[in-house]
Amino acid sequence: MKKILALLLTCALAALLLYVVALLPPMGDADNPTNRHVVPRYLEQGEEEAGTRNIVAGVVLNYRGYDTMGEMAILSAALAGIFAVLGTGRKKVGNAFIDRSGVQFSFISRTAAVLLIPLIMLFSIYVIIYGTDSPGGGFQGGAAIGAGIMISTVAFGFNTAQNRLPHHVRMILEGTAISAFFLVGSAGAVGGGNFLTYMLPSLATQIQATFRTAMLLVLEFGIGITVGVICTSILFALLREEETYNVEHAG
Amino acid sequence: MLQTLNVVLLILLIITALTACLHRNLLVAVIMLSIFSLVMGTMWVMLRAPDLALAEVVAVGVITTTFFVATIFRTDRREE
Amino acid sequence: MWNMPVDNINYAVAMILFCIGFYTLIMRSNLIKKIIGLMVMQVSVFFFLVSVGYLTGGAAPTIIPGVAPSPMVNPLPQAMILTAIVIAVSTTALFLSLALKFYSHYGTVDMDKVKEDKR
Repeated sequence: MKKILALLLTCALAALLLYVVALLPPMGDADNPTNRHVVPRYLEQGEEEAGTRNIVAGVVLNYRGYDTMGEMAILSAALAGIFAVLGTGRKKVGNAFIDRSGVQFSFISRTAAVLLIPLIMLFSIYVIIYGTDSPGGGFQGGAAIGAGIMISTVAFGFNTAQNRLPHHVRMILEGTAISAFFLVGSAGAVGGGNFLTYMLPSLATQIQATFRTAMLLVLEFGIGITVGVICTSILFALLREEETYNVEHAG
Repeated sequence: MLQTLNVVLLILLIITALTACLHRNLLVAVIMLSIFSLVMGTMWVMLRAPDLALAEVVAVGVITTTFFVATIFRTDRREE
Repeated sequence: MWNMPVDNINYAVAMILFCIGFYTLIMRSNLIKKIIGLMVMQVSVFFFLVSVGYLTGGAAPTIIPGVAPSPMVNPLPQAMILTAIVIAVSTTALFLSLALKFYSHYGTVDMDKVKEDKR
């Protein structure tokens, strides 16, 4: 009974949404309202105002820089929530089920990890550095760093990975993004502009563009490192089992 | 040609999403979610958004899938 | 009568995916299935928003030196969906940790079995 009611509700929702979709202007039309009002200014003056050739990165870091700062704060808040629920693991090194499985870490996965992880790290640093001139950016490279560390956790064991990145090291690296945003923004405010202004009026005109590129690189690296280390911390928190682990059943 | 590719990718999207949501074995559902993110990554490239393709494949296809597998191995693995 | 422009098939599939995720979220009693349904809903909304900004015959919004600029697709939805993907990963991770804690307290991840026990 409940199933039929839920199915009817979903079908009603689908019918309503499809009806609205039929009323929208056709996709890709050149004189859609979305392509006419604000966008020509971003596309034409994006390169000289934001200093990047990748206009999406220019929008993310320059025109909507506060949104990116808030995005890093959301990641940190999610990590804080996960630590509140699952424990920080600061006291002792925990176990994980992948260390206790009957099958030893196979030769194939270890060899593949040894060959792949340096290439993954190199590629992710490349994606971070070229984020302003080609598709990529801070988050993509950072997530690839996190993926590389996850592969090393799975291939070499949880205790090995946790000894490489203990809690006090991860704690410092997780704050890199917000610190980078604060430093770059304060440099903008101190140098004569607003918060998060990259072109400072108080510098000489020749080095303003170089300074802006340097600031963008600092931000990209901060975002990349933070995203990678936060994803690693979340994986360690999900894998870690404390010794006192009771399962309470009701009867 | 591109229109046909678009329609084929859309059909693949619906098939993988349905399998991910309706299958009883949770591990199969999570792997289908990863394939869903891969097909969506191709869709992003067709919509001229390479940044989003990179972000989707690495964030949903690799990282979220690993989180899911870590959780599923510690809880029930089968059955609704 | 309801006639949909044939180009809007992207929008229609996004709405269908949204309803698939919505049904999974409300009807399946397993917590992991609910998280999967939430993920499908989020990805469908991203798909819809970026499809709205598409321009037929447009190029990716990157300026390549030495190539004449051609009309580009709308870069603003792409920038916002980039932030939204990060938020989706964060909420999924938090939801998964809550499901793990739920399992350690009740012994099962299935909401229906918990209601039977507590009766």
